[in-house]
Amino acid sequence: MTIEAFIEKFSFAIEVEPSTLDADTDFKALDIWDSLNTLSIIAMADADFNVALSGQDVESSRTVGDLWQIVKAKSKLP
Amino acid sequence: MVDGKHIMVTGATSGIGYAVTKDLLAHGAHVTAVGRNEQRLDELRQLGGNALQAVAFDLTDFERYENLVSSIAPLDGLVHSAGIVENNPLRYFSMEKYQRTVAINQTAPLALISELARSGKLNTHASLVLVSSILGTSIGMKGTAAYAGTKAALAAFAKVMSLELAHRCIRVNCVSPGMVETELVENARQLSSQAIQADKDRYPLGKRYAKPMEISSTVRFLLSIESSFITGQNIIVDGGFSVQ
Repeated sequence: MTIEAFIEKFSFAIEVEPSTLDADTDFKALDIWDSLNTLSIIAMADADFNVALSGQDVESSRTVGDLWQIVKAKSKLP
Repeated sequence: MVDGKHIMVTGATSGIGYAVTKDLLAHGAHVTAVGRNEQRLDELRQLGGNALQAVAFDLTDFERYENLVSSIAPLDGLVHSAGIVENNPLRYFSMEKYQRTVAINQTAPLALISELARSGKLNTHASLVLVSSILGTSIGMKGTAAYAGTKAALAAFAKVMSLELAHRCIRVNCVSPGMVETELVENARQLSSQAIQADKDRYPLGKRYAKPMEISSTVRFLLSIESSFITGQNIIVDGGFSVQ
């Protein structure tokens, strides 16, 4: 799994075009960001990566890349 | 108010059900505590002594309901508190999660009360209390369609069952809490500590979640003779959250 693939999944979860995101995107600063997005990201990690993310994981991440590092660590992806 | 009454509590080993069980024991009730957590059941056995019958039971095991009901003495009350909540937003809708939620939150109380009524295990003047939620009866919250639907069903059940059982002076009511300070909230991984604090700030009464005893005292009122002319109702206990 690559960061590009994660961005694809991430963009589906929060319903934006993948092209509007990159690893450095401060996702909580996006206009569309709200409480459902946190729930969707957690559900996406569960469904697509079999990873149990927490609200704290999302809260403590600033960028998409930060969150990807957490998903990778929790899923033990290379 | 509940002294000497025999009351069954489902979900007795966690959250509101655990608080209700301890509260009823403290007020002199005899409790049949139904739950899955063996350690908590042991704690309740030690706390309740002869006043407590602990039953380890999975409420989704519908085929064993007849055995469960036949093993207990007639009831003066029932508190259905067993329930689960799972993050299940539309884009990631899981049928497995949905069916699990419906089974425990919605089918279980209907099947259990049906079996109790059919078996003559509900005494005249018994009171049944279903623990619903403001998410089912008052407000919406993203990601909780399955949970909210099951909790809305409980309010509907209370209305219908109250009519079906009124001829025996058996009452059926709902209690709908907002968020309650239980281990379920503390362990809810989808909620960050910041999100929980921000949510608490939206509760008009004290900017806090309910204490478990604030729910159990309402449940105890509905179980008691003090509420003898209240049936088919839903009582919201949410510190004013849902009237904003």
